[in-house]
Amino acid sequence: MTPSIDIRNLTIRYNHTPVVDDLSFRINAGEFFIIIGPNGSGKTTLLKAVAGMIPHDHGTILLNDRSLHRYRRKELAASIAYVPQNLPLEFPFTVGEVVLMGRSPHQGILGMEGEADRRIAREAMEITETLHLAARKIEQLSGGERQRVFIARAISQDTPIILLDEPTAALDLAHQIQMMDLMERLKAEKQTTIVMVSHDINLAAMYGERLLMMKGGKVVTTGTPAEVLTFENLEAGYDCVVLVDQSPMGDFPRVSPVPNRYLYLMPRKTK
Amino acid sequence: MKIENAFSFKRLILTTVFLLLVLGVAVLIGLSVGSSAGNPTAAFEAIFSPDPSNEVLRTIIWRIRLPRVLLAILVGAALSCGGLVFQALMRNPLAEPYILGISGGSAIGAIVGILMGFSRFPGVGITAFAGSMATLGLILVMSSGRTILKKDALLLSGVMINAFCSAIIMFLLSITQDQRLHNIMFWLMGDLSIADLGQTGTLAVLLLPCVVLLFMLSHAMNLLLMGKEMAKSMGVNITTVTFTMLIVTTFMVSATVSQSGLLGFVGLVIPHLLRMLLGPDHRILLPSCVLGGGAYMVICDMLARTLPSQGEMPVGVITALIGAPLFIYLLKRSAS
Repeated sequence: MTPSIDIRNLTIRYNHTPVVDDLSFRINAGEFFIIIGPNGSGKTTLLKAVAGMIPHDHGTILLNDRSLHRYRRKELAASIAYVPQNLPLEFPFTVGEVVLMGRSPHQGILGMEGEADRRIAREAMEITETLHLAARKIEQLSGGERQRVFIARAISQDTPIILLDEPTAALDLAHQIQMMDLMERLKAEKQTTIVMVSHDINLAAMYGERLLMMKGGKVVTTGTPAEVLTFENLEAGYDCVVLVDQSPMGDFPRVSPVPNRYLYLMPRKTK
Repeated sequence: MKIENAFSFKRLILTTVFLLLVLGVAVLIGLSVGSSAGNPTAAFEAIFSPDPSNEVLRTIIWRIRLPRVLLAILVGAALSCGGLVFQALMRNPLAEPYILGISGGSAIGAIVGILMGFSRFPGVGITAFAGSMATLGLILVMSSGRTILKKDALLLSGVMINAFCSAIIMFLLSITQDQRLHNIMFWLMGDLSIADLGQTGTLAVLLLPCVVLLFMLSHAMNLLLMGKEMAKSMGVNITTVTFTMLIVTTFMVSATVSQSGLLGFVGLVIPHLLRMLLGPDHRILLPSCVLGGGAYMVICDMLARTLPSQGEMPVGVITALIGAPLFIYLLKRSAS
């Protein structure tokens, strides 16, 4: 069964300043959950804490009703895959080896690969369109290729939960959609829980089932895209004027930031 | 397209067998070449034929050269592993026990032990370990937190620790008056001539479990190269693994330093050479460093014994003459 993530009163401090401040929310099993918010709002820190990368000062993170602390490192790695924002640049191994390394939590201490591991790694490379890169070194890849390789690695880790930190930032338009479609497919086929930090509000609106908007380490609001992405919330969260309407494609909002030269068209804010 | 993967059991066994052969050849050369008695061909015959006329040569070979060759294997293996592990752990191709100052720290410990009149083993070994742990602590404090990955910070702190260690060593030498001075000086420059079978055997027994433990952690070293975060997310228990590797390698280095003195750059030359030949996988590199490092040291020691010199040249001179230029080359390449 796919585990759910339950976060209660989570506080994380850097040098005594809370970066994540008394946060409580729940991510349901099999959900496509997207965390949005302005720069420095604590999204990445929150994601790292959920991945078990960094300790927290207060509160609890429950994975399937069991505290994250109580998981052994390897057990956690078999439950949660994590794709960080800053991917390693210098890494002497080939793409194929990197994707195979994703199998480590399921292997013995020496990481000996069996046939099954190879098959899973190969599938992960096929669906991320990285199989043709298999023999290349990581340092020879473009930013977008590298991003897809590390997503392939996360998929080959074969976990019920995948955490991704701004996975579309380095990708072009076609690969952005392809990446998000892929995550949606994983969710549909394997009931994988997808938790993503994103700066792209429109992608979040298109794919997210539930969104969490953060600011200053606190929750601004959480709910469906239609509930979260109102112009009131966005203007409060991002301190900028936006126009929100319905997407022509379907039942989700479309967010357009308003450039300065069109501000006169907007209804004035009353002070 | 096939998924390329540098690692397989077959490859591990093939490289191990090949390097065993290399080591075997190095040992034969090390046994048959020497400063005294006879040409290599005669020595070669003396090893393989039990002809009584070769008795003197055989005594030299088995009593003097063999312990020395065995000690050289152990020292070369331990220092190469030390370099490999530090390079993986600090994600820095220039990390090496000697350059980081860890060898210097254990030298201070060892000299203190010698001056206090301890026996070479285990007394001096223990003070050497204490000295190297102290410098390791210092390095970790100085390069703690975010700067630990920065090449320059790590190297600079190593240079400073080395300078500091040399000052203390000089101080200790300046207050030493008696005959021990010459011994310490010679030992400092790296010397394998004091080898005897008993001590070498003890060293082997101490080093073997360390090597096995490091081999068990070799896949974790691969994952560590991806960065601490990525390694963690793939199930590596960073704290445990890091501390185990640091303590085990520091122990190995200090155990060899207390036996052989300061031998620089071995942990740089061998891992780099093998990485160029065999690729980046530590599951292959670690056993290869044991065998290749051993062979390298045997050859270096053979050169030290046979190159013309007044008396005998310390083997540390040879390893530094080979290693220091390589270090500068690697520094230049990693800067560009």
